[in-house]
Amino acid sequence: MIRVIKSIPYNIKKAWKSIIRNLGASVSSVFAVTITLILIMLFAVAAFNVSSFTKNIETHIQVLARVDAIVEESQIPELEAQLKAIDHVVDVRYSSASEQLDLLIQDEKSKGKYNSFKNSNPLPAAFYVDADQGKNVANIKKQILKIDGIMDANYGGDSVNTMIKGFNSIRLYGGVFIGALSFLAMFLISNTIKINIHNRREEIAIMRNVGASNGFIKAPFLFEGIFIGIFGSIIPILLTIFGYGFVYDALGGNLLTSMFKLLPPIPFVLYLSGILLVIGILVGFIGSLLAVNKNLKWKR
Amino acid sequence: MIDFVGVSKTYPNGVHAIKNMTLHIAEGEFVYLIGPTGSGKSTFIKLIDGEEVPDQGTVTVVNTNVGKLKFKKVPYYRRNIGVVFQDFRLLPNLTVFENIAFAMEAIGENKHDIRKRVREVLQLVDLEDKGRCFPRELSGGQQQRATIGRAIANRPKVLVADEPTGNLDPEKSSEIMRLLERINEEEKTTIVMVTHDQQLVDTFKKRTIALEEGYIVADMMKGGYINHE
Ligand SMILES: Nc1ncnc2c1ncn2[C@@H]1O[C@H](COP(=O)(O)OP(=O)(O)OP(=O)(O)O)[C@@H](O)[C@H]1O
Ligand SMILES: [Mg+2]
Repeated sequence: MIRVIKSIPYNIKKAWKSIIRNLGASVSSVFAVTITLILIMLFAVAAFNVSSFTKNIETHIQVLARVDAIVEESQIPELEAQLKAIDHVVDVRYSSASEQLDLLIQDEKSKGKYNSFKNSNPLPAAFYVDADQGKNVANIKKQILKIDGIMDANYGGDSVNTMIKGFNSIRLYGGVFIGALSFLAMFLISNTIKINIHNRREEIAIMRNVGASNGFIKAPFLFEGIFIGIFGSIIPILLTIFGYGFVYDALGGNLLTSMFKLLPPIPFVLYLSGILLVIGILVGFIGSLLAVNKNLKWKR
Repeated sequence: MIDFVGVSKTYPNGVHAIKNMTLHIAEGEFVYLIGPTGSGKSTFIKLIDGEEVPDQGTVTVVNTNVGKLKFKKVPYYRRNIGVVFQDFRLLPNLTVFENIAFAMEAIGENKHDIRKRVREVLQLVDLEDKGRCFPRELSGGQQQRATIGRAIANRPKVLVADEPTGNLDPEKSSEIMRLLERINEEEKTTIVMVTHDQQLVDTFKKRTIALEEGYIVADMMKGGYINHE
């Protein structure tokens, strides 16, 4: 262990020399890591924000239960009590038929065309039933429908579901795409290391002749891969830290409506930067490991 | 120190480089390996340092069954074996001092020990004043002495040299021979040296093993024949 730590400066020096010596290939590998990580970053920003949107929507989820026309005013409190008794219901609010009509008239989209219904209101009264969590809403709706005196029950679940489904497929294709990019970056790094191994064949042959262990010969190349990964993550991390903050401020913290609240930059960008760095290092390490395991065995 | 028992080596291309070879080299011996080109001398050397594995028989060096060594274990075994080549193989961008130190760094020796031992070695190979020179600034003989210095830096028990004087004129060759004799005597290193140089073999008389087409055709102790059946 002590020996491993002691050898770090030596390996860093070697890795650095090797990168300089083969600058073209090194720079293109760094570039590949940079592109990959930027895409991963954009994807992660979208993914984390959408999942926080859906959480927000779900936590506010509400069922609109409309009352049968035959139900008398006097029966309303009893209905309300029944609704409140359903599991996972946190709040029930009564809205009279006239209030429902007022809402409809006030809705901008209706442009006053319902004004004439004021004298003979065809709308039923309704209850707004709040669920504790989005996942319980569907079940609450079922329970509501069993109650006598309820005409129907609806919630905005379908649009949320569509959104989640839509995003899941983006996640799938995006994930595949990013996976492919990571492989490309790994391949480029692996190739760079391969070239470097080739350039240093003579030196490696001598190391073998004097009895250098495999680990000793491998280590500088692994460090080189890790370096490439770290260098490749610099730009994506800067973009994350400054770019996300900028976009967040420019949009005022919301995407289109206040229902879609963006994640605040702190601590989100810090986590994301950490993730990007780790991915960069892993891609570099695995890339060089592949090259080392394949190309250092030409001579016993 | 070195034991071949029924050793055969066939390369993937079908060439039988070594055929059913049995021989013993004792600790501290100095042995010449001679024979025409293609007779298997280099292959013999590679079987000793573990670069090649026999496909029949066993090669035992320093109590190690060399052919059975796992890839990972080869380096540790090889610290017992110093190797010298005809074409020197010094690293051009390192000084003589650094080239010799390199062999010790490669096996993880500490800086202090390295400095001490490299000075000692430079003295032994008579290059004390050339430590700061780069290989290109040295004559052929000096480069070969630097290579020998590198080969013995880790105090190997066996030194194998594949035509170490092949690129040198007779005077420089004698110089190298005297150096190898000194290493053989002072460091008690067992030496196996491949050579084509009949004059050298005649001047510095040693046990001489002659190969032909992969067989030992003669094993002579300082000119006298040893029966080898
Ligand atoms: N790596 C290899 N692959 C295939 N055949 C080989 C290999 N190395 C050597 N040979 C063959 O094995 C035989 C013995 O070769 P070796 O190099 O041991 O001869 P040598 O005695 O050292 O010759 P020289 O005096 O020319 O150096 C030759 O026929 C050679 O062509
Ligand atoms: Mg040869």
